[in-house]
Amino acid sequence: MSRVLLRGGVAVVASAVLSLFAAAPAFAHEQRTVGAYMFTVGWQHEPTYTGTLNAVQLFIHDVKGNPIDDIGSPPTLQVTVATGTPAKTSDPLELKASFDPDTSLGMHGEFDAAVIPTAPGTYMFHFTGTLGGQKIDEKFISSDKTFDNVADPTAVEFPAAVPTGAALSTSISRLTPRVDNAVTVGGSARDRAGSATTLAVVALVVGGVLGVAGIAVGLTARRLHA
Amino acid sequence: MAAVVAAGAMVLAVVPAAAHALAVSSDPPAGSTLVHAPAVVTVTFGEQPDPALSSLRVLDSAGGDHTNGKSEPVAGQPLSLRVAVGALGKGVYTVAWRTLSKVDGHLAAGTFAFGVGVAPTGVAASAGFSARSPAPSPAAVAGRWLLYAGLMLLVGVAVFALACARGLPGRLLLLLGGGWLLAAAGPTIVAVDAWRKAQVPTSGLLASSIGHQFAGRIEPVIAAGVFLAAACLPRLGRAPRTRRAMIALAGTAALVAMWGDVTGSHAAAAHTLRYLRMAIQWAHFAAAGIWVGGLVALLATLSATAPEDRLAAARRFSAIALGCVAVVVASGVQRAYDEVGSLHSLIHAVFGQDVLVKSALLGLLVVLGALNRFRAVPALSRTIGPLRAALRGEVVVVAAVLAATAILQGLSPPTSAAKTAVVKPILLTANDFATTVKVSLEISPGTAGFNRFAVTVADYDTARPVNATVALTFALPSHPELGHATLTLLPQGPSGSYAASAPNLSLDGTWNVTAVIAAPDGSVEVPFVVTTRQPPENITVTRTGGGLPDLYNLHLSGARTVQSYLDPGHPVALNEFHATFIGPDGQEIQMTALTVTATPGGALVVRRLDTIGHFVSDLPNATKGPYRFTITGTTEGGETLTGTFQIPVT
Repeated sequence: MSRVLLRGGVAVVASAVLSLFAAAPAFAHEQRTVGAYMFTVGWQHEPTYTGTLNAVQLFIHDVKGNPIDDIGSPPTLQVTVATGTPAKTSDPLELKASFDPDTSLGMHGEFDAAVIPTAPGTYMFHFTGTLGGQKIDEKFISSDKTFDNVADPTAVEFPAAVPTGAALSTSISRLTPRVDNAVTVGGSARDRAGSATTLAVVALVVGGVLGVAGIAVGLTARRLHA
Repeated sequence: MAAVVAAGAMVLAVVPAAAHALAVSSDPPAGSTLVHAPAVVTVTFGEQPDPALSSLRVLDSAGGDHTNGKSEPVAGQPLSLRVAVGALGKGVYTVAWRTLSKVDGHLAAGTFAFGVGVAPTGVAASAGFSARSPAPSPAAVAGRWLLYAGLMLLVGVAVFALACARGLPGRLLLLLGGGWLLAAAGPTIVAVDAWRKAQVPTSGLLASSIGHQFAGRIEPVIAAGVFLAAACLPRLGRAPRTRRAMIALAGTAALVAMWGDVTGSHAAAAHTLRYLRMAIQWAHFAAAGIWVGGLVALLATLSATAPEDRLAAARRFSAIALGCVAVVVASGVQRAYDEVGSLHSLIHAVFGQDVLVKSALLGLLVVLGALNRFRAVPALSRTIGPLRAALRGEVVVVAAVLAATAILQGLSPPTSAAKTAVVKPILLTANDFATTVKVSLEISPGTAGFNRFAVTVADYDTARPVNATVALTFALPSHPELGHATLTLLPQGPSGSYAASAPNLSLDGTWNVTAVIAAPDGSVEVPFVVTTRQPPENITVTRTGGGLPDLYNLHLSGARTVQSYLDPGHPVALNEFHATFIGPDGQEIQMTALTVTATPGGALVVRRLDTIGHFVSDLPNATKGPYRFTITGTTEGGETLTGTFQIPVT
């Protein structure tokens, strides 16, 4: 009996520990108190790579640590994503609740806004709207100390590093004017070569005519001399 | 002919002079981050400093001085100074050094930083040595000008009097007297100026390098004065041969004074063929003296000499001057090459520009001399006007040449400045996959620890600078537990240039460094692979003699050393390679492990000789020749200490 109880106790403790790990947010997130709430913000998938589906991930808890699932109906809380110099800002993205009350799947207090980052670098998430009557205007910036900057995936691609679609697109857009320029230069060279050929033919003809005329003049002169 | 060419090539090819005691290395190294605080700070200079007139100070970020006692020379290392420091806590420390060169008497000063427990960042920190050598003061320039002018008059007038003039006109004696006064005033002014700047106590002046240099110049000048005074004694007027002998001795004393000046010049700072370089410098000085002093003597006696004597004297002097000009030009070219070192330095360094000015003035002198030789001297039988006018012009140009020379002697030659660069930076260029930008990355000094990262970004097609936000990310694949670190660079002066200083290359190894360029057209990554450089090792060898093996001491950060030797160091069946790790207190450091690799020989089996830090490895069947022993030890605290010894088997 005691052995059964011991096994049961170990199982309970183990599952409690596992559930703690399962419930914990990803490591590289920034946590900040926003009025009556605790915001935990980061990428859904980290490390974060360009060209792959990801999401802005937001966990909302109250000050006691209870997850908040209700952000209003319809929700006014939204997020925009910005990156680059000068910064390019996305349209407002919809924050969708992870937890589904119908199936009880997903995580309480988690909201995600799907996005595919296409450029490497530093990203900023800007949350605006209202939550529980409280006005929200918070910016979170990626860094070594908060959540991941976005990187090209070539470092983790194996066995062959494949360029991203954005890189390929940029490459093509850079190649096009170079090809056009090469074609133009080639055309000019061809035109010059054609002109040179024409001139050569004219010169040959003129030379031939002059040669024949010269021979004729010579013969005539010889005859007259004789 | 071949021998002459070979000798010339050797003189041009040898290592240039250092000149000015500027810092070239240190322990702890500049910009280093130490785990253990050092007990002693040692700085090595490119030229021997005068220990009595040089100092090292170790200051914390608040300016507090942590030195214990005065700086002192390092036994067996004349180029180094050391100073003991108190217990240094965690923080950044600045070493401020000030030297007075024992060779040329020039002052120099500079700083570098190191960190204990933290990386040396901030204004005080520097990845290398910052050094400054003050510009020559007007008093020093004036003093040197007087010295050069006086000695040249003494030598040149004496030679003219003995070889060109008939008899000994009173004007020449006056010139010699004037030259002596200048030659006596010059070194006095130079010494007083150096004494004032070095803040040497009067009691210690004569014992200092300033006093020695002053003595080397003034003592022969005093002797020349005695000979001149003897030559002026009325009773010698009836003994012209004795008087001429006195004049010759005075001129010889002036030549000795020129040598005394050369021993305190840039030529004396050479590390190789020192006496040959000094001889060339002296020949330059002496030939210029005979030429210039003779010019003045000829000008002074021109109108007071009979026409036939005048022409003969001018012709004799013209022949002598021709030889002197050849010596001046040849020796001047060698000295300029030695001290300037490169065409870039000749054009861009102040020293090189002064050399150019001096060369141009000398060229003008040569042109005027040629006009004299081929026009004015032949016309001397008819008129002295053209020669006198040309000689006056030459004297004015000579005065300018001497001023340029006096300034040159107070400047630090570019070859000296070049020696202060400890390690050349790592230079890399790359582009992104889409070929939108070309990025060059410069990492200085490129060793593990504190570095300066400078990036320039240019358009791939047009090479125009790109304004962007630039960051570098660092990852060390051999240590994935370190993760990634990001360093944001700040825009610098020129467009498209960015830089920052940081200790991101924290460990030796091959790093993946990625430049993230956020440009208006979009963001791109440019990857680099960076392998850190090993800083030059500081190993001293102690010759023990008496059949005992030589001791090799590898000096590590924190005043720690690894002492090693190969016993017996001869081609026998078994040699033993010993390595002992010693801390700043002279006691063995507690080590947990050591690996030893011999080349040739491969990995050696290591065993402990005690339980602390003394290890030994067997090297069987060694043959005659050099062996390299690479050691990697681990301290009790987990720190890795590495080094390579090159020990010959004889």
